[in-house]
Amino acid sequence: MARLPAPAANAQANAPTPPGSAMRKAVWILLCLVALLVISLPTVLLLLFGMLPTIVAWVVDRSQQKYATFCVCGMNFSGVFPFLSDIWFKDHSTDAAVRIMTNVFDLMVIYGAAAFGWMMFIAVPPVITQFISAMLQKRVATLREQQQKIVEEWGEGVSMLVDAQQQAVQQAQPQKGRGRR
Amino acid sequence: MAEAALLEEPGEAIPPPEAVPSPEAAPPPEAAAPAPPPQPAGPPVIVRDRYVVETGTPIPDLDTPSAKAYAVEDRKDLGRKLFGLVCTPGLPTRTDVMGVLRGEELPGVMPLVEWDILDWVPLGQRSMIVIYDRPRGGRLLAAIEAGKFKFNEYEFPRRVIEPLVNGIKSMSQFDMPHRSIRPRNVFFMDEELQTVAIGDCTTVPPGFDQPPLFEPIDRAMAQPGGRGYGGLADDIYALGVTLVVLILGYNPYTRMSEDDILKAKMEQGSYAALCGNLRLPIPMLEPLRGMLNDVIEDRWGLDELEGWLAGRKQPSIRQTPIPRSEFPFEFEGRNHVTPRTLARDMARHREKGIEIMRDESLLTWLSRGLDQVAKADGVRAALDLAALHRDEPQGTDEYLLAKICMILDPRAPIRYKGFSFMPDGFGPAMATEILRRGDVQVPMEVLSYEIPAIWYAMQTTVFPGASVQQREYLQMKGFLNIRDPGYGWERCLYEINSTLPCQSEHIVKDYVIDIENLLQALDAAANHVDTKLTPMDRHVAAFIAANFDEDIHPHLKALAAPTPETSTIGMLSLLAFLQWKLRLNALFGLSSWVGGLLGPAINTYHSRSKRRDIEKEIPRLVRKGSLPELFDMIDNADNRKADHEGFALACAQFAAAEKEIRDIEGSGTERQTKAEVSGQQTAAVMSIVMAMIVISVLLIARMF
Repeated sequence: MARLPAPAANAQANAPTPPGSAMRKAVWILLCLVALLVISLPTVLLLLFGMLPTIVAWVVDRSQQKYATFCVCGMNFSGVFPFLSDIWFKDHSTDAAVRIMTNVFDLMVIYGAAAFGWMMFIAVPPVITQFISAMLQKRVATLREQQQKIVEEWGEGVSMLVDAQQQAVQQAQPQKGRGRR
Repeated sequence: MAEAALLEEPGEAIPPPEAVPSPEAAPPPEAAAPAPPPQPAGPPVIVRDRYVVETGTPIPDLDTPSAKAYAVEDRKDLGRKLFGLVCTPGLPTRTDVMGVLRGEELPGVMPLVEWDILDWVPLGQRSMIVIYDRPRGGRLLAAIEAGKFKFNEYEFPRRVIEPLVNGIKSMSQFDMPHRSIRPRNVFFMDEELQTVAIGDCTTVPPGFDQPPLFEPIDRAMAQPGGRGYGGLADDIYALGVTLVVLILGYNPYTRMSEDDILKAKMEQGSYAALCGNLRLPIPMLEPLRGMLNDVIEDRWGLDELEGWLAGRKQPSIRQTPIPRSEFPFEFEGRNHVTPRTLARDMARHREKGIEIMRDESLLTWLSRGLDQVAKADGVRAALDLAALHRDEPQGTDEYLLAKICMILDPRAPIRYKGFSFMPDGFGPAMATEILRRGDVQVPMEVLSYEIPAIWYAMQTTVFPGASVQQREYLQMKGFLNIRDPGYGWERCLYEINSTLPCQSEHIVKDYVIDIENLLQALDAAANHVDTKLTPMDRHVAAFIAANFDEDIHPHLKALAAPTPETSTIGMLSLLAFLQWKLRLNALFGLSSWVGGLLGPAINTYHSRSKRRDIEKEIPRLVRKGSLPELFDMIDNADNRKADHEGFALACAQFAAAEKEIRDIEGSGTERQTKAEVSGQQTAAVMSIVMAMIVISVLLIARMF
């Protein structure tokens, strides 16, 4: 059963990140990057240069869930990974990485994959929306049919609960209006 | 006056009460102008599988003013001579007296053999017949007139007075007055003219057929239906007048109008007015003075009469003087010297009476002429009280006139808007007023305004039954104030006229006086009435309420419901209860009739399938003729409960479906947003999954 989040947890989630914590996070990222540069400079270079669309998408996507970022990221990485595997399994050097990054066709593959990811992000939601809408319409039709059968068996009186609720709502609305005035 | 009267032909020429044809008083056939159309004679009718009523053999000589006589044959005793009196429908009869007299051989009373209700072709409806032994010697007065019966003053007491006294005594044993003692209702039961008996008294309300001459002054002033139940004293008074006519052998008062006779009685006293100028045998004067005493307490009773017949000397008769004014009060062309006559004329000429009641001359006459200051004060107080209640019923002129008439003559009948009745005769008075004149308003006002309570308050002497009567009036007022079916004036009508046939238009011709016969009559009526009408009209409901001993208040309450469905169920439940309690056989016609009216009741079920089931089931139960089963099917508690529960569940399901629909339809942009988010999520998942696949495939390809 779903539970409401505790007020304290809510407060923590909504509270602005303290400036010390952001600094700590930046330091950690910088340290990891330096470590990666030391351990595997070609991989880091290729990833940084090849995953630029994902970084852009991360910056552009203002939503909380970052679905656009995930979408672009997935496809972008699919485009980068064949070249990454070339470096890992053939020539793990900075030259090999630079060669890939300067090859227009390789870049087309990498960025084309990222573009395909962005296209997916644009094209899939309307299709899903239409699909869900059709399903809901079907559900409404089923419910109406059920109601019709109930009315046929029990008469118009069965709607009295609904009517009563409607009346109550209608009566409540003007009162609220008067209260506002 | 009396001399002129002596020249008159014998016979009662006094008009019959109200519009009832009076064969007794009717002129001889040759004198009648247009002959009445002959009533169609039907086949003989058999009563109780024994008595054959010959509808084609009327016996006009034995008719009463309100009942026609027909020859009757006893199938078990063909030599027995009988006759039957067919009652006038719409008049209450005295079935209590019939029940007592049936099969009894009482001295001085014509033997009542049987009574029943039969289909009476001449009237085209059912009616009551009362069968008597036929008086072979005919009417006593007719025998005297014809010279067949001769007597002298010494024989008269033994041959005539004694059997008549015995007849009154016989009736008084049952505490039931006869109230129909008059010369033409005295018969010789044998051909030898030896056995004298009093005739019928059961076919009409007490005193209804009596000419006012034979009624005491107070009861004579009431309308025929309102003469009241009366008592032994009234029978003895009637006997006194009857004896005067029989002694003389003719009616000496035919020259005088009813009004004149009554006025003379009131001003001179009954004895002086009736016997003062007649040549009567001297031995008869004493008993006549005793029997015709206007003061009931001083009037002779049975003891005095029997003592006189036995030759014992009776105590001297006290004559109470009639208060007379020193100077007359003129009203409507008459000079009144007694308040009784004035009160009577004021009640008869109401417009003038209303004018005069406020006149100071009336008060002066009462206080100075009559020296009755108390009466004058009473009138003044009544006027003052009416002024206080100006805008209320108690302040109306008619109410005030009735009250002042009671003050002037406290023993007189209640007279309100021309409706006059003795307090013990309200029932028949109301019945005749409503059924014959169609006027309900005046009797209702009498009850509503508690006018009889004024009469009782005016009485200076206590008489038996007063408290019971007053309680009954209050009860009637209670019924009248409730407008629902089973109450109202109809309920009052049947409560105080226990022998009145049900007046519902469906069954009025069936002459239903017993609750046991009501449903059968409705069952038969189903074949000829408009079955769109309900069988339970106000008369039927009131008749049941008045005559059925069980508690039917819940049924009446349902019957009175404003909604047709509840009312229909109330009607069915009451009829079913009646059939069940009275253990009546199948009622096919009534079941069919009621079954056709059950639409609203069936529609109280919410479930359409249940309704269809019931509609399919009704014809089967109609064929069984069982109203209780019909009711059980319509109002079965389990079915009702299941229907209510099912309906509640259906309401909840409907509401839940409606809520879901509104959630779906009413969300609008929210739903769109949700769908888009879902789409974006799906796209992200697809992208990640595709990436995973690509990575996996490439890694596998590299490795192998």
